[in-house]
Amino acid sequence: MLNRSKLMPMIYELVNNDKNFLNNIKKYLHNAFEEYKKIQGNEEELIKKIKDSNTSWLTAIPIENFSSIKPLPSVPVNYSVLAVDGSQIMPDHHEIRICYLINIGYVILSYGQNSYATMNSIPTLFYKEEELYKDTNGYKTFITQKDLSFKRTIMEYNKIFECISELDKDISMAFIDGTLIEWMVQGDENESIIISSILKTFNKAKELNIPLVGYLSSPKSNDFINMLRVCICPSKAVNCNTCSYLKSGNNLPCNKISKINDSDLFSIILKDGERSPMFLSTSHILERYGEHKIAFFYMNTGSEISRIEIPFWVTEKSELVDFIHAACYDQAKKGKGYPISLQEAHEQAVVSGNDREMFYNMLSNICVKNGIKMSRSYKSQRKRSGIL
Amino acid sequence: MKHIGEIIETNTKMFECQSVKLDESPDFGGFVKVISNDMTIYGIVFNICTMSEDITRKPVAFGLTEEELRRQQPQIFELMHTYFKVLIIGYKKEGYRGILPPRPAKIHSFVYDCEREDLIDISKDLNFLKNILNGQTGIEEELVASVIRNLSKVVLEKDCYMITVGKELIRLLKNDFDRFLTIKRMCKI
Repeated sequence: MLNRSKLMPMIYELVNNDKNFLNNIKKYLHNAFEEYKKIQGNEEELIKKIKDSNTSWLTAIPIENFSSIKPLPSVPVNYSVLAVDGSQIMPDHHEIRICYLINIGYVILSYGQNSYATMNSIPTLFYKEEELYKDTNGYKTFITQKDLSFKRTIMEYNKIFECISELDKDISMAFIDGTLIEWMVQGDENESIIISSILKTFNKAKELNIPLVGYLSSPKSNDFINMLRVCICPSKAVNCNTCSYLKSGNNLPCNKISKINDSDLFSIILKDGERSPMFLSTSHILERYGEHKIAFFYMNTGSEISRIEIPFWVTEKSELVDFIHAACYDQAKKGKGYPISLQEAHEQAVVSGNDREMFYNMLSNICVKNGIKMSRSYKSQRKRSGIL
Repeated sequence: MKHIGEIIETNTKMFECQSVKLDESPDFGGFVKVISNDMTIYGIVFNICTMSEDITRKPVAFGLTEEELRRQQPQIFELMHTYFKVLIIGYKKEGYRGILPPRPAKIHSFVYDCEREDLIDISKDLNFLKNILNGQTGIEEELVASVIRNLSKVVLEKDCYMITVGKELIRLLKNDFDRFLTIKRMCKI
């Protein structure tokens, strides 16, 4: 039980802290905007400085001019979009059987003439020894939440691979909820297996000329701000490891914009429907992506700044970039702030608390019918009904 | 014969169906039948509604024509269904009887429109009038009037039939003349 009277003072403290932060953020935003204006027209110089820099944070590389803020292109009437999302029932040691379920939801929405909607979800149950345990340096260990989420990611991409050829409009795209940059995979023992299975879908999408698009709502990324920090740095060759300001104990010059992220800044730069220039991500995991390096831009959807990620080959086809720009805006408008296709894919994928209960009840009923005795752990039973 | 709906809730007195197609249901007061177990169960449609399949998701107004909506938001037509409720009035097993069947219709059975021969069978047994007037639907007068209007179109001797039905209604509503007059007024064909 939550002790409300003890919690309340902490909530007040949090709100006060936020109030102070909001007062400060205006100052940071002003500094960042001034810096942004300064670098326009000096892109070449900046790109060179970024490439020569050695920073402790990720810095985006611009692939379009800074001044090229693009207005909303006309939204096509006829287009189709595939969106995929997944969710899972985690393995629970206190339940009647250790197993897990991954549910992949997908929708194909086709607009304009001969419009249609396909919506479905596919559950997969994992229960075999080799699906529950993995071999770590000779030890048998239970799979982690991270392993399961990688498995889910692969299944989401596989679903796109399966469905992508069904898109029948001349212009179409495949939506992923969140980033296309699987930075979480970096350093995992299965890194190369995971990335190579995902890249199959990237290859197929390129072959069919259908862009894979990652949509990030209210992104917390700060690749662009980091870029501005490089500009601010008075050192000619930026090297954070040998930063003289750090050693002398002075305030870092680049700290004057450090408290804000990219979407804070773009919310004052971009007007409704506009998009930022495109940038190339320098995330280390992309070294594994080969020709499918990920580029991104920010867009004002009218309700928020979202980050749109696309494979690099798409950036070379301006008509495709315009289509993605317009379609993402249209999707967000149709969904009243968040792309409708991603919302519906989520609705298809989501496994509610009731669904989870139903799953375990089905499992236990079928086991009992087959003469297998089942029991939940005492902990689980006691969680369901306390003793008075 | 193509089915028009499927039973999703059922009990002794009535059943609820999901229409095969959105916005396509039998008319209010229309007759439907379902072949369930070893008999055919007959009923009258008394409530039709179209709503979201998920009770937590309420439809919102878009201010678009249906055509525009289909082009711009095709998914919403997949997430809504038309439902109709049917009051059971009789069943057929070696001949039609205007009484409740011994067992309710089975869930997930298909529901079909009644044919002319079915309606002629139903018209001969006036028990359905009492069944409707028993007050399970909340719109008894409207429903009786609608059913009578529908049956009068298929019976051979229409005037004669209307007199018989009128007499039965007088018998059932002898203590409620106002109600009888309301139904009579609504039966004007």
